[in-house]
Amino acid sequence: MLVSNQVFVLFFNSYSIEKMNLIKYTSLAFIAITALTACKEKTTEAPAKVTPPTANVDLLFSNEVDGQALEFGQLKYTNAAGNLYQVDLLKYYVTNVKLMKADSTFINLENYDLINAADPSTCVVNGLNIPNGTYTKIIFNIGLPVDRNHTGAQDGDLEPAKGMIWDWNTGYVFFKHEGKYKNSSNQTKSLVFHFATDRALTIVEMPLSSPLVVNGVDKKVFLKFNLNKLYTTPSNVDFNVDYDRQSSSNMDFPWLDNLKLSFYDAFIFDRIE
Amino acid sequence: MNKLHKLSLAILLSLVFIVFLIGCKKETPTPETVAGLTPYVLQIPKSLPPMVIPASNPMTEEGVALGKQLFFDPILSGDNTMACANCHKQSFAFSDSTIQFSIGIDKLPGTRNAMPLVNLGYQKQFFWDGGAADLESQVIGPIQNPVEMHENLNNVLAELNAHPTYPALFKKVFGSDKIGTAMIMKAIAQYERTIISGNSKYDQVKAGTASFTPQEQRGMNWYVDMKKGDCAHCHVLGSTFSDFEYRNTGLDSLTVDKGRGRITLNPTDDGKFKTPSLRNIALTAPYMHDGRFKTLEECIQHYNVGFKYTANLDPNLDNIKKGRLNPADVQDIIAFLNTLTDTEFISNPKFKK
Repeated sequence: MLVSNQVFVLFFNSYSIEKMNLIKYTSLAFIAITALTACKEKTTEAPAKVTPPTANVDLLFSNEVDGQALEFGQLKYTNAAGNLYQVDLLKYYVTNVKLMKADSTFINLENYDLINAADPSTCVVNGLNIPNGTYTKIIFNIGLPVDRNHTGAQDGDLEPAKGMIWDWNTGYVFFKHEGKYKNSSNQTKSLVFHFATDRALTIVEMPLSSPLVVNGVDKKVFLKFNLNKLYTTPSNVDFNVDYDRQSSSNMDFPWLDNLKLSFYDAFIFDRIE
Repeated sequence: MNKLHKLSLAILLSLVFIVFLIGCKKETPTPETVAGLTPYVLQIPKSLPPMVIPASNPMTEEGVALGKQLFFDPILSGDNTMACANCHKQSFAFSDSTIQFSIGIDKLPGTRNAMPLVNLGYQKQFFWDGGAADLESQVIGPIQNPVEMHENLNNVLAELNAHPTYPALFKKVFGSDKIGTAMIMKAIAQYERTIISGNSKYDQVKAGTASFTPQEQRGMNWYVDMKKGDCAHCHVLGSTFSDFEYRNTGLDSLTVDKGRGRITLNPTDDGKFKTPSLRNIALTAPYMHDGRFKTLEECIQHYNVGFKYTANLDPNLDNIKKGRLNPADVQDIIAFLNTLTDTEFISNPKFKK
């Protein structure tokens, strides 16, 4: 921006001073060359011995069921209530990741990332240029904050073609688990859980048992999401009773309000590399 | 200025230009619209207030033209046979002829009557139940609805990105090499905001260039009279002829379509629908959210005698006497409503394909 501003000043000056002599033009040209050189320097690397003031921190989400890596389309998981079930789709928004220090100051990544468990390339939140320091807590939303949840004309992971937006009641689905389960009559039935509307926004606070120390070197923070944990709060969810909750009826909300508390337990800090 | 001066100036300007390019490349975020576009200047009739255009979607001549092309292009539907314009016809004030429910590409009918698209820039929410939070967000509803254009957005994007001419048009308007859904939404919304009607006989009377017949004048009197028509409570006289609030008008004793209640999940909103504008109302039959009334006379008689005392009935109806209009009064109100038809609007070539 600074460079652009300088150029604007130069540009306007060159119009208003038509009668300026050659020396002045030459010196202006010299300044322009200096600006050009200065701009180039920005891209060159800092000397190796100086610790950079920032580093990149990636948050990697590993989606699993009680320690087993998630496999799609397999009727192989058992929830706490003893129901056999499978996962055909697992997607959720992780937004506004905050890295917090012990003194409660924090940096907000201001990210809007859709984690699609079926595509590992999406299961990462990139934190660029994180200032050096010791971070002791990670806070993030499951879902979109109100200011992002009420228009579909958005890009990136909020692109409507990603299939997470409602077109009949503008807003995004924050969390989706779709699959099948075996009911008490031994029939295989559909399972649909969609968390949506502003009310479903959930904030997860995760204290880091070993702090994230940023000192100019890029770091990776590994987090786990245990789907089975989601179906345990405040009591174990029986899929025979609750198998289709899409946040589109009043009946869904008391259930979802309770269930969203279990995100606290479902997300687990793993390690830092 | 001598030659040497001119040469120095040329060198200086070239250098400045180079620095500017280099400086911009890395540090300027992609702007919402690309330089070199012509801002679209809305022609707002005297009878209407200024229209507030969202800062996230500034209107340009090029954006409006692209939106218009998309509005008339069946490429947005599942089998490429149906455009927005199929059910929103200019001659019917951009509603769907006289049929109750529009028929989608799979020959399936909808459950609500296609709304006219008039003066949309004054509305805050869209659809009969206000489910679309802004005009841009409304666009993807009919495209994806199985009983309407029944298309998948990924298909739309693939078709548009592979199209011989669309990618260049989108790039001109939005500066992006790849077409995204948000651009489709923004372009169509830009076009829709230009669809303005404000030159009806009513407007001409207000401007002093025409005058009401005695019957039309009586009709307007009944329209505003709170003991007779009492229309103006909701269909506010003048300007947009609606306050665009949601109301239960006692169409059914028991809720058939939850309307606004489906959006808010508040039971007190069950059976409420957005008050439609009455501009060009003579052209948009049939009436009500479900197109149950074929004529304006049936509508007025509903408010006169037909409405039912439902749980969420609007207080204005709950408190008013039934049978307050005699048949002549009803005809007077219809005569007045006919003065809200804007013939210039329905033939205006700038809205056409």
